[in-house]
Amino acid sequence: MNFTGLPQSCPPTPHDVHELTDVWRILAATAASPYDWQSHQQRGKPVPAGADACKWSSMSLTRNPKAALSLRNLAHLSHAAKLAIPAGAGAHKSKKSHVDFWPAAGTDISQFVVAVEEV
Amino acid sequence: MIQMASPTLMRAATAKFEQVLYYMDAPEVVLLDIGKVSKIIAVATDRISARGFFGAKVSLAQFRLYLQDRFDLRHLMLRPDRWTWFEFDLPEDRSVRVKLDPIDLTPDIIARIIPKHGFFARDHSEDYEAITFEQRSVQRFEVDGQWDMREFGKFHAQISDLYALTQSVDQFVDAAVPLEQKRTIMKSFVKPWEGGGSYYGFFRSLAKTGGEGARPNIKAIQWASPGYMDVVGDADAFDRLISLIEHFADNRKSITDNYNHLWSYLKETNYLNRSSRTLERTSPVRIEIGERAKALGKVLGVTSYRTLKQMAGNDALVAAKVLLATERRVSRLYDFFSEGRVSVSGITVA
Repeated sequence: MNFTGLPQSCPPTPHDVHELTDVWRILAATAASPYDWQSHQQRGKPVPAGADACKWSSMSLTRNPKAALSLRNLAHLSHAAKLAIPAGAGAHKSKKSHVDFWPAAGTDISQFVVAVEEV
Repeated sequence: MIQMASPTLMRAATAKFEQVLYYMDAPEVVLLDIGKVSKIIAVATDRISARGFFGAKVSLAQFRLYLQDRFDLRHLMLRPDRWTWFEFDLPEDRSVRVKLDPIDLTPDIIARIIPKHGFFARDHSEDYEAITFEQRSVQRFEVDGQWDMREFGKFHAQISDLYALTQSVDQFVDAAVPLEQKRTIMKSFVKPWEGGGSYYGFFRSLAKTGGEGARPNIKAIQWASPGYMDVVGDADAFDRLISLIEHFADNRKSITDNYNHLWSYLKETNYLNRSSRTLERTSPVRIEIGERAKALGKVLGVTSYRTLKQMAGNDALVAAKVLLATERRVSRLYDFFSEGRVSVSGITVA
């Protein structure tokens, strides 16, 4: 699997490349824009203090979008897209309800949306 | 508005960045280290405020409870037991200490910044491993004979009170325990000591200040007779508690004599229902109370009179009353064992 534009040693080892279901990407609106599928690194934001560069280049997915949106800093996000990501579409690492996802080169994640709901 | 001190009057504080607890593309919940027994848990505010983070200062004990999902982040930030809130930005260089600006918790902050209900530690994206939870084990008390619910409650209350006292004594004499925690324990001794309510309040305060570690919890009760009561707590603390009961059984006469010796003197001098306010430091009554309490402490074996007196802010009368209350609790527990209604595997109480 190829990745482009990631920091060195990223995705971290070990990681998972199997199918990923029942995960959500939180969005600003009903219809996702290309911006919604970008990591902060892809958006050109500098890595802040205390943040890990590899995580900075991942897209955060969650199994509990309601908990994420209880944080006021994320209140501008109102919807969540449920995803069913097939094996080989990228690398992921889960911890509790959070998933770091690094799309493989050429992967268009928007095609894996199975539902969009207001949270 | 909730405030502990005017922010302008509080001296500038700093803290050490410890770790991110929750990412959602960027750090959204972070943890700072401030002193040995406090943390600052903070939420990102960069999209809703001019500052990067808003945090609440909490004790290590309260943070432990949060990590165990006992309450959510909203509760923790609205009711931090240190009652202090800060705003801050994270410096570029992680090794540089974070400058904290005190801020009051206003209705506006509650509405705009404090998280809504529903975010628990289980939702963190990162593990927090710096706190190791003490090993809690299950102590089974076999029960037999006739019991009613009130007696089960009474039995558990005696266990809880003695458990809290012995754990607090351990913390007080432990050189590694921060002074702040020792002072908190000492505050539990500040009671009117003029009647029964003070004793109840005292043991309750001890259990509260000691946090989870000072409270044994009932895990299971089998009501049938014979049945059992499983209590969860620290294995060493249970061992010591059972040793105390064995020790009481072996030295009952001497302990009871010393108890009566002290109790009757307090009764005679009218200090059972009075505080030490009227008791001069060098008065013969105070000295006699000290002598009799020292003798009881020695035979009871929970802790020395000297330690208890230190914990009680050098108040001989309070130390004496705590010793009397402790004896009553050991004695009641002993009764359950001697009646054959409670037993612990491998232990014989005469």
